[in-house]
Amino acid sequence: MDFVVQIAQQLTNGLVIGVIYTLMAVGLTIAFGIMNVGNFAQGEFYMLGAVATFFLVATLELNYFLSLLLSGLIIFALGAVVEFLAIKPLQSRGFMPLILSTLGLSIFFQHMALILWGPIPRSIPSPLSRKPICLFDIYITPQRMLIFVAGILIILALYLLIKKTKIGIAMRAVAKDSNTASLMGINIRRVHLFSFGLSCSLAALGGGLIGPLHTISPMMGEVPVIKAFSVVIMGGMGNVQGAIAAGFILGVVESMAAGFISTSYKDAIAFGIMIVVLLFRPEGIFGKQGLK
Amino acid sequence: MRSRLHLIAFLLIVFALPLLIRNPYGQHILVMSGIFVLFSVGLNIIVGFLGQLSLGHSAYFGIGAYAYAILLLNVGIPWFLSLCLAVMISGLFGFLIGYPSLRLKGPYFAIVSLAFAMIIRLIAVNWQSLTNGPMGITGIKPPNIPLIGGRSLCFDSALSNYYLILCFVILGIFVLHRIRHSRAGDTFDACRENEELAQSVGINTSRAKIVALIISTMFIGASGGLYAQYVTYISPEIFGWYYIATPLIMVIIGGAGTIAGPIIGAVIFTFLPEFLRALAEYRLVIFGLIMIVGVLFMPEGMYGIWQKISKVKAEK
Repeated sequence: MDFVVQIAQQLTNGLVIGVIYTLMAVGLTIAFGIMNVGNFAQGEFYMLGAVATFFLVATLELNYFLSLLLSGLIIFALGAVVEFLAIKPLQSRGFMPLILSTLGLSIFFQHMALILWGPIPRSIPSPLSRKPICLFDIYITPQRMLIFVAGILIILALYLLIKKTKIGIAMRAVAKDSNTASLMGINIRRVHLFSFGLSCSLAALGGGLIGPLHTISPMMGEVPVIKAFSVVIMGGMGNVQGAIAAGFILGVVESMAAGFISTSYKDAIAFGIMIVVLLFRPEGIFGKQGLK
Repeated sequence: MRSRLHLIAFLLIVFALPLLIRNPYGQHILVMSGIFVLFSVGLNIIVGFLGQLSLGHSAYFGIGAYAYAILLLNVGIPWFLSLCLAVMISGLFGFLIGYPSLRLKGPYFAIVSLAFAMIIRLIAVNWQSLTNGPMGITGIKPPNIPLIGGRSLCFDSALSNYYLILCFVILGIFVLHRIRHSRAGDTFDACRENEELAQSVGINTSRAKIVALIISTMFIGASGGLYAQYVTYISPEIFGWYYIATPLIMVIIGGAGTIAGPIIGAVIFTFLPEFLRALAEYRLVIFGLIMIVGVLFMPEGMYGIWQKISKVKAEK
């Protein structure tokens, strides 16, 4: 019985972390599927989302949930500006300049944050209590529960956005064939701006959600971005559903490994899975299906 | 003939440089730029000649440094042999990692190379008995060359290290120059420009790519070993982003795919942060900006711009 409870506990923790990986990875997938950009600054948008939420809550004393939403919008706008300045001009020059440009952005944002924020890690003050609730012998803090629920809601909202709205349909059309889409009168520039902003804001929401649970620091995005990339690769580049499934799988596998094997090599699991997937099934576990 | 004269004049200046810059700090930066020249010249073989973006080169720098330190201190092998072995170990890792990952291209290769680098960093942090974990390895003895009459030449100053590293840099560039103008160099070009076409005319592209990667990792390993012996202290930090991003900037902004480009880039981007010292904490912010602006406005790098300017002048 004890063992079962322990497994269930690790499973819960894993699903909570999995939500964060999923949000970041779905963002990456959108940018990759629509614009062919591997955004190495995604970890910094995650960090900036957490930082923005912190300032809205701690300095402006706004409500946490409102701050979370606002920080998502702020990073959306920032993402659109970044797309305009550093992505669009490189679009026709292949993959290498694009990756290098996002790497430059990553260094820029990290060290800018280091100057403005300082190296001291801080935590977002959350309205929820820190006392864990016990559900069927499994302990879970209200913040963890919130991360899970909010994450699922965000993913659902994204699903509706992609399926039902005009811009969502345009995004899918561009992902499929951008030339035909533009012949049909879709404004490709607008779709790109929107998609990149959306992709960054998903990471930002992840950061804002994790902020009260872990501490925020300028370097907090370094490792998650690579894990998000491995999720993208596991799910199949450009496959949103695959990324969602792979994000949860990685979260669970990691937390099982941390609980039952060793914590020191926990981070290596994501990298190991990614390497194995790329070598034996480069199209991802779930194949390449594009933005559906 | 004229270009040979230029080369000799240039070499004379390079040899005289540390005698002109007398202050120890300036000499230290000179040594560091030598190390980075070797690093970025090696990296350029993957990025410039093969056209594959590596994000995992810090692994080979770290492997070179750690292998040198461990062989020298724990195993007790003489420094020169340790250095040679460290270079070979880097090359071996280059082969082991490159063999599977070179089947991938573009962003996939970039991400996998980064994942391997992260795994190696985790090993360096966690394998305490070998690497001393996060504390790193200290007290790496400077190289010693015994001379006649019981005296010896000890490379414990920046000045002596400059000449030691300069020897390796010149040797490296000479080797690279020979490779560039050999059949192997042509096959690298073929792999970069059109792999399928290269295969169709009977070039074994996978062999060419793995050979290029091994040579590249050996260069990077050598720079890591020389770094370890010069600074006498290493920690897992040498696997970090600084040693991934800096050499990339040097190669790309200097001019990928050329021999002179990465050398120019390495020297400029070792000295530039020191000139930016007044801006202290903004240094890396500016580095990030330079990377973006460089990629945006200088697709051929500095060397490319210089070539264009001299071409226009020649036409006039």
